[in-house]
Amino acid sequence: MKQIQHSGLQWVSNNSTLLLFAVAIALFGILSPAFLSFQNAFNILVQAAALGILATGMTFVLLTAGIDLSVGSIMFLAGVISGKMVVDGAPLWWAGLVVVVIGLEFGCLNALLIYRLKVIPFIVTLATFYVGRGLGLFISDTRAINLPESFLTLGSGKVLGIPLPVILLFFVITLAHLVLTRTTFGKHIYAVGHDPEKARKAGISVNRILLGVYVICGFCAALGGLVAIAQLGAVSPTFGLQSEFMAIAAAILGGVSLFGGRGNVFPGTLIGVLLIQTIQNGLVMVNADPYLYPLITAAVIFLVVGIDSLQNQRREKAKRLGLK
Amino acid sequence: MKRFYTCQGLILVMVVLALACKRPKGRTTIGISFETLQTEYWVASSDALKAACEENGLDYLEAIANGDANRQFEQVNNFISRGVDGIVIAPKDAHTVIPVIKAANRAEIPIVIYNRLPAPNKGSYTTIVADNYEITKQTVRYLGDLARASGKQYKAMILIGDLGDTNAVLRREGFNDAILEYEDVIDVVAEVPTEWNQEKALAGVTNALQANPDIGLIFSSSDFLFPSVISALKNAGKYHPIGHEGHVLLGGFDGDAMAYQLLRSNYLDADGVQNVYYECDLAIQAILDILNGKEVDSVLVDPGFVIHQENLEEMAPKMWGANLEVP
Amino acid sequence: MLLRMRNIHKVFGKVSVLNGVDLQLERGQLLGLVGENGAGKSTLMNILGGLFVPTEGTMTLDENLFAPTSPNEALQAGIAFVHQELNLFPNLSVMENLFISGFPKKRFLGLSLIDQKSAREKAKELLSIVGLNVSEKVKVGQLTAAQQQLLEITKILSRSPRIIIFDEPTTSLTRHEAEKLFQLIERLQSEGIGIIYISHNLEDVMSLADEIMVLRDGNCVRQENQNAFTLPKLIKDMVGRDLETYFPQRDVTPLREKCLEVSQVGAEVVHDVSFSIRKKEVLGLYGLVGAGRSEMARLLYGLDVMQKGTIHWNGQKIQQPSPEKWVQEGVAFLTENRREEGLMIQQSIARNIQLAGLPNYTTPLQTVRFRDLDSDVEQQARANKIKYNNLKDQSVATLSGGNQQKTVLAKWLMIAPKLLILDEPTKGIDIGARHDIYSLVNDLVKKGSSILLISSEIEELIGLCDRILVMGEGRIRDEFHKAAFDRSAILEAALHGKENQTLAT
Repeated sequence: MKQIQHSGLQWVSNNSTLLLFAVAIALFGILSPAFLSFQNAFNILVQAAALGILATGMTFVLLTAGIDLSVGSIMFLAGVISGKMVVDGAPLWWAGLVVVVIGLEFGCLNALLIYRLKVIPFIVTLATFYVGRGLGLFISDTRAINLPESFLTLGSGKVLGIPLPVILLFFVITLAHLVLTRTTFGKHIYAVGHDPEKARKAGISVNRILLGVYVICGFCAALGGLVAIAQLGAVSPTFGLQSEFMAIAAAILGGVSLFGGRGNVFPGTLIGVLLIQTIQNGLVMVNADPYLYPLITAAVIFLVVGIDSLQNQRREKAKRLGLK
Repeated sequence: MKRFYTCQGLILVMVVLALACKRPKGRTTIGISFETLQTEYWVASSDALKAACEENGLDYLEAIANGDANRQFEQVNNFISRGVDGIVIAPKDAHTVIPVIKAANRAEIPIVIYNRLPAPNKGSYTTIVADNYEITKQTVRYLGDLARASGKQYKAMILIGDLGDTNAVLRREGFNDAILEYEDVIDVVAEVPTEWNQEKALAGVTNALQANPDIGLIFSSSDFLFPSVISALKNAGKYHPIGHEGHVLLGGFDGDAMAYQLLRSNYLDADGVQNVYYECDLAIQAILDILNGKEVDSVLVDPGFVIHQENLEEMAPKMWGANLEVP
Repeated sequence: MLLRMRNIHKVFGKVSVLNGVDLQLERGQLLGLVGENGAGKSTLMNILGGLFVPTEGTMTLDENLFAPTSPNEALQAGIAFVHQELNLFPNLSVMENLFISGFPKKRFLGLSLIDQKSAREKAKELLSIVGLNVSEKVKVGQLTAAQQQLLEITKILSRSPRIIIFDEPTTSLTRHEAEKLFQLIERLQSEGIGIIYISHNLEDVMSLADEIMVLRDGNCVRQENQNAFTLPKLIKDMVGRDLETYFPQRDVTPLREKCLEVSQVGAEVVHDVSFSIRKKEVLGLYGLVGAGRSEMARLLYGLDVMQKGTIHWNGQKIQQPSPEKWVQEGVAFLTENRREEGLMIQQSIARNIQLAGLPNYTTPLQTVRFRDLDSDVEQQARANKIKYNNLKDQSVATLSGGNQQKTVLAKWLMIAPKLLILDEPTKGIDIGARHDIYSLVNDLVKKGSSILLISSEIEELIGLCDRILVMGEGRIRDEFHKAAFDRSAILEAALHGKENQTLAT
């Protein structure tokens, strides 16, 4: 009996985010019937697209026990440059390509600084955070850039009735899932995240893995930025601010460990992103007091991270007992 | 011989330094310190201040603190040690500006606080603020009159800013108090917190429109959120110009270039405008007055104005956004 | 001859760790390698494994000259290590761990993917060879210690090694699991793989080995056929040396009065431990690595949570021991890892020495009497014979291990402790500094303190203690009084003591 109880509890703690997600849907559904509509579900997915792509890239970095604070700035810089280009008459695809290259370049820069200069990711990406934002502000003269109609149609376009951003999100998540579960590179990310020293002993080139994850993260940041501005139709000087924290929060909610080696993109990070967007959406649907928003977001993060910490303690204990 | 050259070199360096430090004391110099130039509004303000200085034949020094209150304090101290005659500061927040005020008082340099009210303190200073509450109230009243004139019932939504920002809170209060006068025709069904973030605003407006598809009035606490509002309206098929039967009444605050464009293209009904030029003139005038020994009130209020379709031509020259070239 | 190491020397800085060791290993032979901690076993094996380059001497593998410069090179040549700490990733599955250094691949939509099917089949095949009966999909973190060890061996076998080095492979295994491991080792031998087996468990070594090599102080005492050894003879070879003059004499006898009484203390790896310490007594605690000595001391001092049992200090019961309480009572603890736990490594020597005694120099106004403090700190540093250039500016990180240890000791001596718990105080410390530390211990006892000395070195305990307790598997296995100290008997008790016996005095 005790065993069953124990495993039940364990199931709850292992799937806390999923449960919260279900609870949130049920609660908002009861409070506002419009919440449960098909269209609203699509709205949540569309709104989750940019954050989801960002958080997917962040997951790769977090899995190696790293962190990337520069994603918001990459988003911003990519948005500003592509916006300027399109306003000046460059074709969309050309601007998109430049955006992606910017993302990749920033990822490379982050990775190189981290393993060449042996500076911790937090400091390196804090520096590139300022570089990206500073460059973006410089190029845009701190002015909002209003984008032509063609950009917006890209953001609200549909294929077979499914919004383009949603298709892109699922494409990115599927690819990331495939890379993490089905490729040598993916497995090496987990190994490096668990213990870089052991990984080196196992013949893994840790530097190559780090380069890979930061490049992926930079790429996702640029792509996420593109998806966001295609929906907004404008790039303001505050665009992308704090996006890095939202992405980290989503990944953590999805069960990705800040200490590396644990977590996945699907279902983990995806659920985390959907949970955040669902709560934001639901609160507007029920017209909650605006002062409640940060409190509820904080409560959710506390709850999930608290459960994760309990789990971690249990694992540590089990490990100590198991190895002695 | 070598020593001789070294001495000569040293003397030369000292002369150059002395010349560099000794500024011609003829013209009055104003130190302008901005917390950041990360919004169009601050950029326009900074330009207007500099223009006001030139008009009055003043020199100016400018420093940007990039959001760092500490750095701002040091920059003002640098102003003081370089012997400026007056300081205009757009501070990081209400509290960190207090030591700055104290430093200026100690050096007996007049200081004007631009656009943010400092927390209560004993220093002597002059604050220039726009009347956020009153301007918002007037703007919303204009929208309310339009609503009442149409004879229809309206459901309303407001986009509110960062609740840690006094300006955002005052604008929200102005909106709510104005709406109270129009309870018979307007019902507020959604308050969307944006934390001054465009993506959150887009998601919030989309969601609110999902919950209440018949929303007919939207007020944005800042003009820079309009792209989000428009994008959401477009997606919901509700973006129509004034005169169209599906037109959603739109109101905003700030008076930036985007708002001006929307007014011109017949989409925006009314916009509360902070009179940047007036505020900047007030600021520079206040310093000159103090230097000339005149008494100056501790708070100078910019009453602002509401710009709408009917007074557009008349007021456009005073609207700072109208004078920015559209990127 | 599969492997021959000739006249291997290794010098680290000024310390000579190996002085001309010879080693021979035939195909299919198992060589037992025994010696005390610090005898040079791991250095010798690390030279074989390519981690160190010998200062002098040569190696041949299959009669070809063998001089690896990196672990990878040694691995390529077929030399595999099974370390005490396994190189597995608990967050990955069994199959993923097996192939982490090289997955079977296939192409899919231009991507190079892991060929799951063939990887799984290969994994199953490998697992069945060693008889590891787990699913290849399960996460390694969920396996038992024995299963993890088998997995590590499986991983090694997939690279077809010629020599496998086992370093203490049985410490985390039950007896039954160990027997299974031995069967596997025998099978590996029959396939012609040479095995070097390092263990403190001499009985295992005696029963498994074809030949045994005894190392002591970096010298090969002898390598001979297993038949030539008996257990007592092996032990004597390991520890035998004259050390009488090494330990300063102490002519204080313990008082009758007890200061600390511990009864039935238990937690995860410590079971029902009971003992007591008298005033002016030096009580030794011996046991092999993993016997639970340090864990017991940590429980006692409140660094880990005690699950059961009681502790009395001078007749008074201590509720929930904590370092704070113990410091107030005048009990100090020198932990095993002085760098991490005992020192503020970047701070100056003086700052470190001040730390524990600071409250005694604080006036009622919460200011510190720095002049008194400084002079006392200097006096203590000199009494401890710490070799420094500048007491106040030199960081502890710049000191040698021995001087660091003296610094930690000085810190605690500033509060004149009534009981001092020392956990491996001379680990990695050269002979001169050891002697100084032993003298300090004797001085303390003369002044009325009691000592609990935890050590892996029998000589040290015999030289210093009034009484020695032997621990194993988390229990106290035996007790020896000064008159009846016997190296072989103590070692034997630690290796395979009378189990489940608890002693209370």
